[in-house]
Amino acid sequence: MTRREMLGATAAALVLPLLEARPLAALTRYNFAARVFTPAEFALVDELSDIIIPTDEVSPGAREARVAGEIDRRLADALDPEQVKRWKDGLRAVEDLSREMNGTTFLKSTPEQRVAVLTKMASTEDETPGSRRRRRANPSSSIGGFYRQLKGATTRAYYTSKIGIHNDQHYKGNVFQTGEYAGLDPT
Amino acid sequence: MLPGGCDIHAAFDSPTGLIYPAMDTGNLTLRTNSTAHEILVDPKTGRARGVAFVDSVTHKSLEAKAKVVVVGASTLESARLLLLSKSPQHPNGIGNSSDHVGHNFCEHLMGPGVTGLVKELVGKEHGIEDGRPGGFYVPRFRNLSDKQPGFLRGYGFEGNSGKSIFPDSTDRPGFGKQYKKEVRDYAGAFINMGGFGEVLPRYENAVSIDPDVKDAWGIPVLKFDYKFGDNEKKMAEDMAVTAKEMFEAAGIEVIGVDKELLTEGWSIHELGTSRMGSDPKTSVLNQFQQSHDVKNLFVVDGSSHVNASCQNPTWTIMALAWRSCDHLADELKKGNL
Ligand SMILES: Cc1cc2nc3c(=O)[nH]c(=O)nc-3n(C[C@H](O)[C@H](O)[C@H](O)COP(=O)(O)OP(=O)(O)OC[C@H]3O[C@@H](n4cnc5c(N)ncnc54)[C@H](O)[C@@H]3O)c2cc1C
Repeated sequence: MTRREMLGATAAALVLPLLEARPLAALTRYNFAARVFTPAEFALVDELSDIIIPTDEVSPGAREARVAGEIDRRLADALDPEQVKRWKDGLRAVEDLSREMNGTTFLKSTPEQRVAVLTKMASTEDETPGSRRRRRANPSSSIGGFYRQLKGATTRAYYTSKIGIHNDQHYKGNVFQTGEYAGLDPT
Repeated sequence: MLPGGCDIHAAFDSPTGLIYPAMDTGNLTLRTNSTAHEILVDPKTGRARGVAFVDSVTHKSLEAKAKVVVVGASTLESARLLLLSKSPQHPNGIGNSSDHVGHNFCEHLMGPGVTGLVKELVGKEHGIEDGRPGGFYVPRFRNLSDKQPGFLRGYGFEGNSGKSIFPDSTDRPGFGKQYKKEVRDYAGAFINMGGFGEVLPRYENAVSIDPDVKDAWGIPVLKFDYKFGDNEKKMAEDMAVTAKEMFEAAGIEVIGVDKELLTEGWSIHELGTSRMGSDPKTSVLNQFQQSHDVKNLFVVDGSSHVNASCQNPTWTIMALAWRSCDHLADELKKGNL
């Protein structure tokens, strides 16, 4: 994202009304804009991301924040062509794991079965808390490596979306303060 | 600052602050895609007479004539250029009668640090904490009034805390509702800081011309003989211990201590390959970054630093370059060059 795009995005986020919940039809329309993922891959990323960051009582989840579309956009603009390949390989590995565990594709599995696949993928996650260098860890080609990549990309796309920034995090930076000071009183 | 500079010219970068204004004077010709590989020498006087360069697009060899040559190719590339510029007058490379070009290569020490959790902040709503210009800084405190038994010189700490537009809590484990809730609750509750120390300048830490490897234009590349020594290792140990102590004293729950030194070269703050000094036998440049040996040759980049200290280098590089240019203009006016 260039700085100009970022400024544009932030400015837009401030003036546009909050997104309404979108029916699936809109997503399908959105789907056609995918530049890297096939419709099937897109649907898979869409579902995986929404399991990683689902809707809860505070805010809508990754699907509504259009995380899959953002991941597709970032990949299409990526400088390293290997990245696209890693994602496609990773998604295929998810399908293989689903067939192995559930006897069917990820999207045809039940919600519980899908969570089981992700739980299996997540089981290799490094859970040492607090290392400042953890995020630099090399994503390997293993399914655990792909899980880290998927979770990282989902998180990044979600928390840079309007929904993530405003509905979920209630971000208050860069607001024009007219009345009382909106900052933190450290006393 | 984003790669590529600031699109709207609101922040300082060389094009915005220096190159465009210089072009506006009408006295600057900029020749891009030009890779210099030798400073040419006048055989009669031994002074610099220009620069040989390759057009990096057409691969054509070209020369530029000059009254004064001002090199600013960076600590590594300037050393490379000086060392490559061998002539009967300067058999060791131009400006290198001291045998100090390429030596005393130094940089900064990074890696050790601490991450903590401020429990009181878990679950707190966002405030406007994001308008700050940066993180926090603990200036150097070692070997000022005290004397450390294990190492010379010192380090500062650079740190970050507080909520920001992108939550700092996204490396919570797992996924799903619990993950999402933890990201929300822990956002802005972490604090971390890392050491930023001085790698001592040592003669034996050096770069030299590689006899075998050449770059895409057939120009020999640099070879590195550069290793951290005992001082760096001891300093790094102290960074980790002290960082933890500071957090504990501040009532912060320490959740991680990084002890490992990041590898040599990590700081990307290369300095010191043509050090400044008053003695032409032990230094390459004088206080105006002017070659002791060749009066019409200047090196105005990180090369001249005699040590890395524990601060970011660029403002000092620029300030020294500015001073050198004032001196150069003066000398030209006086007819000394
Ligand atoms: C990612 C990154 C982050 C950094 N962050 C900071 C920071 O926050 N604060 C700070 O103080 N410092 C920072 N630094 C260090 C800082 O960028 C350098 O110290 C500084 O730019 C060095 O200035 P210089 O003039 O010596 O060399 P450079 O800025 O590297 O300029 C050298 C120029 O010479 C050109 N050149 C090289 N060889 C040739 C040749 N043979 N022919 C023609 N042209 C040539 C290069 O293309 C380049 O334009 C950072 C460095 C990096 C890489």
